Amino acid sequence: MLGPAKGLRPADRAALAVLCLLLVISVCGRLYACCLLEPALEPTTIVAANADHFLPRAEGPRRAVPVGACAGPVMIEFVEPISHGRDTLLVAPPDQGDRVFYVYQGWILHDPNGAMKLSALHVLRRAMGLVGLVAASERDKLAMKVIVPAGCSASPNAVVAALPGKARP
Amino acid sequence: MKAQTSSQSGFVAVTGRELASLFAMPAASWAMLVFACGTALSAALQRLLLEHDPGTQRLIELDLGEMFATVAVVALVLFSRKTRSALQPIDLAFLCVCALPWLLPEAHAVYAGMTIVALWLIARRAHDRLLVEVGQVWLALSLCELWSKLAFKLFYPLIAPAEVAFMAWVGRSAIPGLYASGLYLSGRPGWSIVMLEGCSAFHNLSLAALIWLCVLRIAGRRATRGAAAALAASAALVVAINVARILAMLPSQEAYSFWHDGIGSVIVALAAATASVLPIVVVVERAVGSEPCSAPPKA
Repeated sequence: MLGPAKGLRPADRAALAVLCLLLVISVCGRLYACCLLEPALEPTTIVAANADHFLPRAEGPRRAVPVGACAGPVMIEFVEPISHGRDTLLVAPPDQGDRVFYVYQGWILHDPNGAMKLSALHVLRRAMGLVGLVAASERDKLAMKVIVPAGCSASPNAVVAALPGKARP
Repeated sequence: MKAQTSSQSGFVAVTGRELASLFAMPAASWAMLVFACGTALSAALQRLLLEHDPGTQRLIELDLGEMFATVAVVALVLFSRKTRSALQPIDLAFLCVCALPWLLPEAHAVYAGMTIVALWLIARRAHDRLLVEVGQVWLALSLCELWSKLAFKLFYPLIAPAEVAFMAWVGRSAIPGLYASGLYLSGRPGWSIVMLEGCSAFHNLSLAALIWLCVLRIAGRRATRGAAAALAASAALVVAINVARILAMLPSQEAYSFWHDGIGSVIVALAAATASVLPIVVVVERAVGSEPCSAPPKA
């Protein structure tokens, strides 16, 4: 059974008031965002190796890019940086002997755990975006999956440096 | 067979006196209730904004854990049969600070605040059983709604292929020639399915654990060996239901549509929910039935 009612302390009253206020603000804010704000646009560009290096996603989900050091073209796919939703590109298996690495927000992830590191970086960016440490538009940037064909020994840095689309405004 | 009065039931019987006493309880209890309900409401609202058409299956799975956790906290706070101490001012301050994520535009982030409060109550109020039990429920809810999902996303490249391999191993007895490669599962040439996050039983397992804990708390029971067996049974059933669902998608496009997007997905969600609830309810009711009759507690 519940104990007898106790006298309300100022701390009790204050906490209850603050919680109710936060709840009202939260509900009103979410309803406002739902009813009055425009939906966010799908990201169209991606920052690659450095701040001056952009590639437009509108040119297609998969691109073949010739790289001087490789006999065949390097395949580039734009992927969600975390494994969710219906974007299966992140996990699509490459052909035997191909090397896969990811480029995301200036990071080049080329070790066997690159996909997991990519997800961790994305979660970190989203968390930083939530508390205002990075711009909200940065949170939804796509990553770039680079598939280097078998037999090409070019390093990830060399491949990224050879990609087109540099110095877009 | 023993006759049972309503007060002997494993679950809390609400009397008029108890209902009347709700309005006389300390404000600190109201603060806990507002925090519990506010977190669930804030997350649910934000989720509905993110997913404009989440589908019936997702709605069942997503809301079930929050519903059970909220009911468990309400039951603990309102109908606890022990004298409890009020929250200290520092606890109340923690509740308020950890409610700030309600203002963030991210459904999962609200559970980060709940995690901190839960750990605080478990670690610093260990002498108060009620606060510890509320903390356990909040921690389980946070694990289910935030941390297990985060862990799955981070370790998806490891977990998902292992799950697909397990499905293929189980399914080969029913579907000869079943072939698994990475995340791809194929029962016949020219048709394969790929396993994404929603196809995994990982979240259903954390949901089953949360429901198990909530039922125990609602019934005011301790975790016994029988309860542990019920949890194991629920986990096995949830995994079996998910494997059966995935294998049922393999024969054709129509089968895939039925079990992935159609009424089949709703049936699976309800079956998984039942598998999570039923074993622990049976164990609790049996334990109550085996107890000697006693006088109902005095109000």
